[in-house]
Amino acid sequence: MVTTIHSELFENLRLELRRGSLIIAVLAQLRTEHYGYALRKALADRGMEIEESTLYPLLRRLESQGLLASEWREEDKRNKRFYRLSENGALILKELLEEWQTMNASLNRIV
Amino acid sequence: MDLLDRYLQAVRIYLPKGQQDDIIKELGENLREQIEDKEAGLGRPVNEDELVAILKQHGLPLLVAGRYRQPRYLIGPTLFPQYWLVMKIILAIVAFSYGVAAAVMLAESNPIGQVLAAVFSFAGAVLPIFAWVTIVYAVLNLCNDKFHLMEKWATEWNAKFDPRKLPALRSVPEGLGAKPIPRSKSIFELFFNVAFLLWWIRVAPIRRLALFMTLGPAGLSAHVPFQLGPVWHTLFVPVILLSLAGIGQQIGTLIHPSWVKFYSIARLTVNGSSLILLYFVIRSSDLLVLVPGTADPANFSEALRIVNLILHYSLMLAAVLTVFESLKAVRQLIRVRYNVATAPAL
Repeated sequence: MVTTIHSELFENLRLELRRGSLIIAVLAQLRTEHYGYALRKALADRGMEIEESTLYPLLRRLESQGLLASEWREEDKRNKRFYRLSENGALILKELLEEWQTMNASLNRIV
Repeated sequence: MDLLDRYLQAVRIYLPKGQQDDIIKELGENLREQIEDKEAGLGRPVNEDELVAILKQHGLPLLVAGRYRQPRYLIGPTLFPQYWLVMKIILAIVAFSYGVAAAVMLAESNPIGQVLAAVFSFAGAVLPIFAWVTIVYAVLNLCNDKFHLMEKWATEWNAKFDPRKLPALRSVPEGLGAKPIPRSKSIFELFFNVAFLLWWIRVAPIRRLALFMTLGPAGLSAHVPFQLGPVWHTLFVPVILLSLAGIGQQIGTLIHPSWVKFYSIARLTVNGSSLILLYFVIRSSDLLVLVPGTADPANFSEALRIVNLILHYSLMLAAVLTVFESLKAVRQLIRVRYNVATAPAL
């Protein structure tokens, strides 16, 4: 019982910690154009596993916020939606990376 | 791929209307790509079990579609604490009213079926109120989402906010949060409660004193022509029990003035029961009656009417004061809870 509560608590905290990092990872990876499934694989190859059902809606949300741009294009005889970082997204990513590095440095000093 | 199409169809149902085609087209392509990837790894087409595993891993259609929607609240986290507080207050008021009504019905010897029907109508009375409060807060939430009212107000309030104007710290006694009950108050109440009980059980000197206080010097006459009406005889034992309960509470409070929670709960119980008894007494027109065998009763009828009228209004005033006293007890209970919840941990 205690172990279950502990692991649930850890899982919730882990998800909270990951949420912001995922956005940075997705924005950074989309400095190069990708479609959904390819992006997921690219992130996984770099150690950032992310569920499809989380990634695909996230891409749409970031696009609706103006951080990503997308277009439908044919590749390998198949229509795919390609995403890339928008100009505004690039600015935000730069600021987010600075913030992340500052926070990381502070955490390193603390822990 | 029949399974994949069925899966996509199931997801589509829960998607936002305007984006269904676009999302399903993209999701379908991504899933097909994933399946082809798997097939390339296996060197053969996926079988049904493998396809099921991929779709299961992708998730329940309802949940998958839900992630494409913005989180929506009927009542959002900003307004919810207020909404919940209002709901609890309403529930407490309605429950208290129904409790009193049920007790009165029982005391009036109504059939138990009727009493139960009245109690069960509680849900019927509460639900429309809850529905209306929810609708009002849902509309407020909608306005808040649309016009960002709370954010605007919060900005304004924040600009005007001056921590120096916050109320001074309340003294929090050890153990419980609210102010302790003054011993002088307990002694005063205990004295009158004991005096009342002695009068009620017909201890002669006390009874004579009470008659003097009520009727003036005439009350000391050996031939007082009035006596208590029949309604008082019916309530003889309940009044004794109630008085004893009150005395118990007052002794407890005298010994432990910081037992505010005990005081408030006991007070509410005694006051609630007193209100029920007062209800029966106030309904009776003959609070005092002529002593049987009084000579020339017509002479006293006007005096009796006036005394009964005064007693009647005094009892109504007592009922109102009891309600106020109960509200104070409720406030004290809330303070106890608030202070216990907010007191710093030691």
